[in-house]
Amino acid sequence: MKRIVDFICSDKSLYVGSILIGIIIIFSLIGPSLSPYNYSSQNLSEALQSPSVSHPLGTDYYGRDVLARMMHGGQITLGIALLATTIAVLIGMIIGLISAFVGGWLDRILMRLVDIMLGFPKLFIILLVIGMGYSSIGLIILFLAIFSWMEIARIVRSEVLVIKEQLYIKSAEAIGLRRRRIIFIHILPNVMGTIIVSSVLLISTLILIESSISFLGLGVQPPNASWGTILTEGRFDPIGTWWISVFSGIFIIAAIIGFNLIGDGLRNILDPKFTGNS
Amino acid sequence: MSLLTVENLSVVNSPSGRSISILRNISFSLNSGETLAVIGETGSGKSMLCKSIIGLLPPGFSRSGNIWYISSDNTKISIITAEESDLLNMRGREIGMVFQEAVASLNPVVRCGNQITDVLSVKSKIEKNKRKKHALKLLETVGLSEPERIFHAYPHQLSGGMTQRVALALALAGEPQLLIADEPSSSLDSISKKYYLNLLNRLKQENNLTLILVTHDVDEALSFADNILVLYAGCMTEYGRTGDIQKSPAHPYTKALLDIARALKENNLPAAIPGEISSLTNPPPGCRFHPRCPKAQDICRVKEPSSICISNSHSVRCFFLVDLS
Amino acid sequence: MQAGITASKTLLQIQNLRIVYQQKSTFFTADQTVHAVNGVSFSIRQGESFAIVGRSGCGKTSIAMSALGFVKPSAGAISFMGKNIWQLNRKNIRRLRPLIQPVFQDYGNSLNPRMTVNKIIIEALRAQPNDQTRTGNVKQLLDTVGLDSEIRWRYPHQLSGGQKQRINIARALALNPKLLILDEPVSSQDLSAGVQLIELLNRLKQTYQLSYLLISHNLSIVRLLSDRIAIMKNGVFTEQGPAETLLQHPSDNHTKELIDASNLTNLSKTGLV
Repeated sequence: MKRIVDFICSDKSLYVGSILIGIIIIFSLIGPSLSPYNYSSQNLSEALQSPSVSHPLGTDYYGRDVLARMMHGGQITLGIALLATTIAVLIGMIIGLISAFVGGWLDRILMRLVDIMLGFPKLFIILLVIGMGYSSIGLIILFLAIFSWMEIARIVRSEVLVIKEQLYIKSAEAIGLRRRRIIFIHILPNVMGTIIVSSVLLISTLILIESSISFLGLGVQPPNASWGTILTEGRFDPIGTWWISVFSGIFIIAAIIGFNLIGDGLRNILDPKFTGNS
Repeated sequence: MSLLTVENLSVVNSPSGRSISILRNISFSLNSGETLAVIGETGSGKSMLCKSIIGLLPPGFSRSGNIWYISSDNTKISIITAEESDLLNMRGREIGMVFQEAVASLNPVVRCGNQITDVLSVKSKIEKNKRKKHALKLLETVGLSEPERIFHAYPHQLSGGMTQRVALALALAGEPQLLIADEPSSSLDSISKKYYLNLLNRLKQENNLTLILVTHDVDEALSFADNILVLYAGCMTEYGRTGDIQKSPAHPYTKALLDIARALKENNLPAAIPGEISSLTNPPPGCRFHPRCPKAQDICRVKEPSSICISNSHSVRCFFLVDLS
Repeated sequence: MQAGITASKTLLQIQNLRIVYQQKSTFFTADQTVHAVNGVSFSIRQGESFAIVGRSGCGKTSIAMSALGFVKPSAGAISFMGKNIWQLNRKNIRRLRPLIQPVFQDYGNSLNPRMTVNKIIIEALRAQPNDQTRTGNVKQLLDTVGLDSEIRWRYPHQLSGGQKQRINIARALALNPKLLILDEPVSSQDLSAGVQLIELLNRLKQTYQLSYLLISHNLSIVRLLSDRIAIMKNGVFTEQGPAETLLQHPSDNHTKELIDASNLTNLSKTGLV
């Protein structure tokens, strides 16, 4: 535990980012059990109240407590982004490794597949499919993952191609180690740093995309709500009911900044120039 | 008159509150037209010495002491207190530098010739239409037999020996008085190395260059330099004329290095200096060489020796000098 | 010593080896064929040290890479203990591999930066499929190469150049090899560390009857480490013979050039060798 704290404190942006994300995660996970309100229970007599002591972030059109909805929305938004990132990173790593190791025609086919996928207007396709009526949180996760593994695959492939030529890999081959061991013990740990950095940055990208489609009303559907859904609920009267959009907007921005800071911090630490004196 | 005078130069690196002494109290002076060889093992601070002279220390490193330099218009400049803009002006025009990794010091996507004409456009008064001619002449001076071909080649198309010579031409383009060469020959094979040293020797004579040659090859220093400075773990153990040092090394470390070099030349396998060079982050107390020193006594373990002048051009830091008889 | 060598059997035999690199054309360049090695033959007996000396780019490293199984020869045969290593099946290759171990010049890059010395050596010990005759535990191996056993908890970047190269040697020894391929093992080392390594290599050769294939450009190091020397230029051997004879009485011009280059006392001021 102390090692983790020391590690986080060793870089300023990692430190600030971790605190920011830490607060958001605690807020979303523990918050609902402390709140007297349920995110979906309506109370029309208390509709559209501005922030007060009993409703710190006010209430929405149906008299639901915005604070409780933000906590619930955090779970949905972060959950979607984290799960989609995990799937994307797994797909990307597998494709990148296969591409770098098998090489030849398979490499060429996989890399062209990456090019094609990158060429797709992903937001448009997601909107199209969801617009056709197939909307569920699982589907959103799947779509986000399918359209974001390509960067990871490219990074893994190019890193592996470089590390494969290092002399310590040649030495491992000369020892007679099996290929599987060389990949998992010698190559992957040395690629891991870059993968972690780009996954953290991917999380923030996916939060943004999910919020955008939810804002358009095509993402997370009621009774569930993500931050993007809440953001959209304030759009009818952005001045008069400012608290609905402003607070959800702040949360989205804070999460994106937080993950970006963590990504930058990790990149600084994992940069080979910095590892020399650890 | 001495072109470069270094007085009590110390370099300290302070990462996260700790302060690590990289160089301690280095003093020497270098006359115009002479060569100084700086010898020492990896981690002795040789490259840091070069970088502090040219004012290119990485962030987090700080210098103290004095570095005086007499510029070509005869003004005395303190390099430590000089403005960055003045230093920028001096680099290339007054002080040139060659690095160990020549390929890394050349831009991989610019043809060699254009890199030289670029320097000429900034660092010399040669008119635009004559720059190419001058660049070709420079390439010829550094012993490249097909200057026209080299001019149009990219660095990766040339051999190691050739890129090292292109880097030298680049350093000479601004016609510096002082050239600092940081292990220029250590990545070359023996034939290229000898060729390169011969070339440096000739250029030195022709252009009246003053040279600081950093090397870990004792032989190279002995055969090439007028003065030798021996560094050990950031400390200046011995400094003097090459002849004096070769004939009567006063510091046990210098003596051990010379013995090894001599034995290798005579085709014997000499006894190595036991142990490893002490680390700069956690140096031993007292004389930094004492853990490996055959003559070490109690005083060496607690007290750092001060500089003793054997003659006015030969100084050493040791309590128990090698017998001078 | 000399008699022992003549009596022992041939370990590595290379016959008429040719290595050609094909460089595929890119957008900017045409197809290129590089003849790195152009018909080279030699053999190394058990307990013998054979050196290939030449300038950078003469093809000497290609021979080493080919003997290690990393570069496929275009023609010729490389036999190790009587078997052509490029015609073996996978299982036999795995059995043979540990017997030929490399020690590279770039000592720093030959150790995985994320593994402790302990892990690096244990990995090699575990990979050893042959009879356990002289390999021991990590401590013993570190002792053999003259390192303190405390060093095994360190990471490569915490070691000096000489120590890293010793770890490389210890890892090679863990596999109980018969032939070490030394690619410029000491040329990027400091003077004293280099001398210590030469001492170590000579001692190991005696103790374990090891054979060396030494690749270098530096004759002053080669003469201390080898029994026989071959001089290589442009992919072929120009001269080959016992170390002392060859260095005392060189017949080829290139050999003379290399001998002259290892002596720096006669620097000229004309800039020409």
